[in-house]
Amino acid sequence: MVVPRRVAVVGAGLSDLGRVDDKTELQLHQQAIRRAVADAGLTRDDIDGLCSTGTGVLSPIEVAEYVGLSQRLRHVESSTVGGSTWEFMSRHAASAIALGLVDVVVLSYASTTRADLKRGVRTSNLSFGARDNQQFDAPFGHTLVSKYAMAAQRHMAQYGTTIEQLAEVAVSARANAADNPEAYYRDPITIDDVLSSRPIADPLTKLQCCIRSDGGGAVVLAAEDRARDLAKAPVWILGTGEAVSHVTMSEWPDFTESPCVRSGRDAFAQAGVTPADIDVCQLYDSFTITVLLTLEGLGFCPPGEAGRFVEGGTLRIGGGLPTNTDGGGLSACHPGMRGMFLIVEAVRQLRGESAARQVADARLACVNGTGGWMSSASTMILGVD
Amino acid sequence: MNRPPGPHTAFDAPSVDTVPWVPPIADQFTEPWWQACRERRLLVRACATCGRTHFPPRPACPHCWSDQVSWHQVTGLGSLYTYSVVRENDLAPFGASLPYVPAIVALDEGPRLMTSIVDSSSLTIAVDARVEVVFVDRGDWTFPAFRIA
Repeated sequence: MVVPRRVAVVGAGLSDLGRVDDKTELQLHQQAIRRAVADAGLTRDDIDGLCSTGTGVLSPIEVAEYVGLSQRLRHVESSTVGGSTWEFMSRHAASAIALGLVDVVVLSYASTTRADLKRGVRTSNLSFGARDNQQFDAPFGHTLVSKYAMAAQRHMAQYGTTIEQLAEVAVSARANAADNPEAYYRDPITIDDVLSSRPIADPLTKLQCCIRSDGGGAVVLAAEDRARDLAKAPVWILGTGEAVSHVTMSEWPDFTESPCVRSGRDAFAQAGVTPADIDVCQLYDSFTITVLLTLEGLGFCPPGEAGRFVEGGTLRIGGGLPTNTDGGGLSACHPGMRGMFLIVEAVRQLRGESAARQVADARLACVNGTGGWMSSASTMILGVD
Repeated sequence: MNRPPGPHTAFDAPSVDTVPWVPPIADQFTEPWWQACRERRLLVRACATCGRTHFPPRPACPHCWSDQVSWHQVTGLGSLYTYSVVRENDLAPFGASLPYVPAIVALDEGPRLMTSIVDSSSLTIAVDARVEVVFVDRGDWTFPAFRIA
């Protein structure tokens, strides 16, 4: 019988971030991967697994080839579940490492969304086709923002959540970004600023939508026998969970419930902790409503209560539940998808590397990726000795 | 009715003549559904084994996996489960028809469907409002929009 090994995040790195007009996505993958592996105190010869996606055909083989690892990998994965993909990958890689199938796995992501928009090589909104079930959804022109806006609209009507409470999520993210020199936007904003920004899809205004930046990131996962004597203290993966829901909007059973209800339940149970034990959160903030649904789904507050929960700066550094401490996708960093950056920021907080934005005594972190249009969720509980 | 406060500016949902829409890619199995729309009939799927309805339509029941499933005509009445008002979209033809109101309608018979609200004032559009189907003809296609009842 195989005795499962403990698994840790042992390296984390970011590529050039923000406005990157001089590099391609694969170049950013290579930069982030080399930085994450160096951060761990490892070399390319230690890597035997790679999880990556987001680029052209046959990713992650394309990434593996570019960084010169393709001939030596024994664990390769490319989940396609949206922005939560790297939390899913972490769970899968940790399982493979725990079983002894592989020892050191790198996860990577990179995107030049902002630069591509600026160059006019992609549209702001994306079409996802009109075949099969999409033939009944896509003809009506619901945008990605409007899909999340429909969730916000339902939450407001069902629970009395106010537009000011939604706006507070964006205000808190910006307040956290102020202390992050790598954040895209750092100037403070007010609730009035959020509400008077350009309406995109009611009730969501521009400042309630994630930014579009460039950049990449990578993390390195390793078995405990490797993790103990590396460059940085291991950040243990204590619990994980994954869940999916819908692609077709009419198939989402409850627009006020994230699939993280299920992924969170599994992750907390495996870790043997509860939301009350968590010191710091990194919760995918594609839109303000995403954070409210995630807080409720993970059990940080009861269903319907997240609007009141975030009032008064709960999510700010120094608040009751510091969340998205780098400024999140709303203010700091959102190159197309954000799942990778959630893990990097959680690792930095747990290592005490976050300088001016460091949460005091951060020992236990909750990461939750959300993919698609509340289509998928994956939860990770991370901790340090 | 539950009308959230917010930064909404007044608008009217587009008329049946101007509501933006793009054709689907239908297939042999779904063509009867689109043909029914042309005949002013709205269909869902009904399962003889478990008694449940579903939409979008599948050959076999997604609830119990029975293949004893057939087309079932519904009344076209329901309630507005949720909606948004799209004010930005750079994809054609939608960008030329702003704002418009994509919505999820819960049919009285059970299933929900994606649609667009037409011919309605913003003063009446609200979550849980009663709605009724309006069939909109566009070239070879007819699609179901809804208006506030």
